[in-house]
Amino acid sequence: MIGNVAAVFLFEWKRALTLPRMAWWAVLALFPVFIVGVIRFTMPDEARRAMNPIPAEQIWNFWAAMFYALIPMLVSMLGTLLWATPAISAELERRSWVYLTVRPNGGTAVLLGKYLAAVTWVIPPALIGLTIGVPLADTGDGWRMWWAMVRLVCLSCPAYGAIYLMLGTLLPRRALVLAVAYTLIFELVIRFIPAVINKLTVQFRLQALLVEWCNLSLAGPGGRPSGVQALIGDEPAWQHVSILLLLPPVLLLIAVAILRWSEFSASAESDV
Amino acid sequence: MAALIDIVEITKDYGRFRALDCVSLQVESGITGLLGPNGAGKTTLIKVLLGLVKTSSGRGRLLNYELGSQYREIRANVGYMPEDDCFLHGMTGVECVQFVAQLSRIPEIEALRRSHEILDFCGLAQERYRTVETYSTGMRQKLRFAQAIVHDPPVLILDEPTSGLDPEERVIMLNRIRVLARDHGKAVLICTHILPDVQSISDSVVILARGRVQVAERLSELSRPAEPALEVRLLGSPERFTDVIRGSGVPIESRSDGTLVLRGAPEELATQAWQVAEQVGVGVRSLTASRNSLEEIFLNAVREGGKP
Repeated sequence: MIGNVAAVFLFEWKRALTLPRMAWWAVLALFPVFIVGVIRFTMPDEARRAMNPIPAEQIWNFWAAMFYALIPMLVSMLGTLLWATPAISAELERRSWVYLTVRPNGGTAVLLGKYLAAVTWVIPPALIGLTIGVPLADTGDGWRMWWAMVRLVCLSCPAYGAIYLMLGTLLPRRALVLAVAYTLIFELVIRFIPAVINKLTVQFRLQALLVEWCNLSLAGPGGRPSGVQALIGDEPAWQHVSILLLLPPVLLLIAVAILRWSEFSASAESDV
Repeated sequence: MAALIDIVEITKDYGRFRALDCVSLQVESGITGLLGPNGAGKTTLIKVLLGLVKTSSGRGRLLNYELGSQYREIRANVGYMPEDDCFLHGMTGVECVQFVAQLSRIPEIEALRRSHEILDFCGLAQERYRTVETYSTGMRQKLRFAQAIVHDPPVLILDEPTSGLDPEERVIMLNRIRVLARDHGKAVLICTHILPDVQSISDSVVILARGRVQVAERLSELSRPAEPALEVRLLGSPERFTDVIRGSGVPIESRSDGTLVLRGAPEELATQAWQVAEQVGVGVRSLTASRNSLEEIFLNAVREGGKP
């Protein structure tokens, strides 16, 4: 089984080394750098002067939020959405799914191999973006910022990869639509509803860890508790990390179970 | 000897559509042709055998493995060549075959060695180093065949293995299948619309129509006519030949294509026919024992299956 997964993983990486995919890879790596560069160097002088009196803590908070939005959020989400979601639908469209699944454990190997390939494909551009972007931003204590973001990337990519893969297995014919709907509804809307339901989102965990690891201040004016505190919760970091680490194997198991009980090949071919 | 495939009253419904209707079937080793018009349930039956779809009811075994529950063992022992033109983009032919060999649990180096060996057998020479997108229809067919046999399975299920091949390549492909079955002991199930292919290499025939088995029999039995006869084709005028044969008390009739049909035991009639032909001065183009054609058998089975 491990050999099968490794074969699919290497095969997927070989397939990823094509010009269009490498172009996407470069876009994912350089887009955050570009945005950071634009903010850092094209800000009007007046605005820069206006920022000067701003306390270092607020500048730190600004860059932490910016890097978080650009890399563990945008790059991880978009990258895994693009590569993990169509794991099955792409093979169904190419009609190669039947070919792969008639091998012993073929379907499971394809699923897990593609998952690993998607995650390892997205993490490097995220790290490159961080490694170039953090020194460029001149955040002050750049090493701490970089290390916090690296940990968030390494937690977000496997978690989102597993979610999108599971959604892609659940409804392969509408995989991308389902994944985009999930992202918009759950991760971007429900996440900001101050209720228990927002604890079901990955963003809730990641943002809580961002606050913890970047030591962000959530206090409102005059040191009063702000509304943001209610969105972050008060669970300890180890709990968030544990849940994020546990999420991928659980979701992958669900995806494998769905695969086991589904009849994708039946709908893939018109012949009876 | 246990049957290679033994299925009992298998039914498969796709929603309200019944693709397989109480199919019971026993397939022995050798080459078996699986025939049927479009929508007869051939592909569904193959998918049931491979565990790709679940049955609505019924049970069965393939190579003594339970259908449905022991699908891993079944897949490890079956080589499947699907009808669809499915190839893995961006890879060379040899990489494709190596990849599916690895998926069949063959270690990387051994998979590569076997891939070259199988591609040699399948007649893909230097083309094996080209990406599969550039392959012609015939090359793709050979590649799909190579992928099906690379892990040396005891059972092969081949869906339309000769479609899209030119006549010469078709004969070569059928020879490859024959070699695998006769010299390497593989059991082969061929699903095709090309009846002459089945007639030329199959030991047995299964005909499906409307989700039901209409015929499942050895080809030699099916081909045997109800009444033994000898078919004679002559070079020259048949009138005197016909008169002499009829005069000897052998019933004889002439078909529209000029073939003469002599009723009786073919072995005895053949000697007589040679003698009479020599006597009346006509040449003999062919002498064959009368057989039911597969086309006739197929059409009868499908028509009977079509009756309400």
